Amino acid sequence: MSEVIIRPTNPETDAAAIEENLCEPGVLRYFPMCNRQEVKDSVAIWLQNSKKGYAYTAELDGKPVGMMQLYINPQEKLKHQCLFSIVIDVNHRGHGIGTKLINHCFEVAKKKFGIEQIHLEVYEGNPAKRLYDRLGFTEYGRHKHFLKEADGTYSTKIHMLKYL
Amino acid sequence: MDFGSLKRWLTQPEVRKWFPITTEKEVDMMTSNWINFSRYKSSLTATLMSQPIGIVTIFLMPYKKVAHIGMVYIVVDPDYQRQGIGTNLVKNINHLGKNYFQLEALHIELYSGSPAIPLFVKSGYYQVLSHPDYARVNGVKHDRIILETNL
Repeated sequence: MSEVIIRPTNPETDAAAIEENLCEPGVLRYFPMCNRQEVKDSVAIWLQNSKKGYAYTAELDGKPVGMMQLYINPQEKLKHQCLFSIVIDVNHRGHGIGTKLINHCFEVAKKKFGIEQIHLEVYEGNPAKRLYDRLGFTEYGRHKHFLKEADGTYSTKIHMLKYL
Repeated sequence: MDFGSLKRWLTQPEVRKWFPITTEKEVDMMTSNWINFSRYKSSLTATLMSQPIGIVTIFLMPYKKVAHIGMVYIVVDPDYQRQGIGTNLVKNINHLGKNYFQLEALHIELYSGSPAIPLFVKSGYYQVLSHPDYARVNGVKHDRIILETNL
């Protein structure tokens, strides 16, 4: 298997890949967006973060296979902690790409941006939670009925954090 | 008129400490974001002799899957606090959220120690979670407390 490279997200060339990854039904079900237009709106935020140097892409054989963004807070009171989100191409899972991307971003968050605590939101049933457990995240709360699907069923949002 | 009042309240140190604002620029940005929700008619202002003395607003969620819940922001003029105005605003925003926006729940994020916590608890909100060390105010870390009510 070729080597996975982690590089800053390129707002111009990576946008389409982020959009396609998020639009995969098995991926989108664990995000708050529900259709392509909402995904496009969320990618716009992703690209804003990448322009500030807050987003990284995992690349395999010249192709983006995963992206992670840090929501660095500009406010003085909140700048010591940040939320992040990540998406890995469904065809490239289980090969440690997520772990490598996350560890890289943690280094950047800590050393470049002075982040002391990183946190995430994951919906119940998302297999990615196992990865977060393994990486040392601890759960600090659950928000029930946070997502409501078109069929009227609800999902719980699980909040996790880790000190860097 | 309401923009000026909101900015004046948020500028006062005893109000500002409970919001993610420190600098004048942060106050300006928050005031603008907040007041912008009035265009969706999700904001209520309490007045006394035609002067604003408190504002409560539902920040509506942009995505369909989370459109059944709203996030509340509230501030009462420091000169008129502890007189039931906040309680009245919460009662009215719950009503607006339920009957006008058909929301199922409202939640609010507050820092641990905020005087708004007992106000919301008294109004039927319960704690969903506590996020440790979320905000740093004058060197002291505060938790982020999320309170919610079902409408």
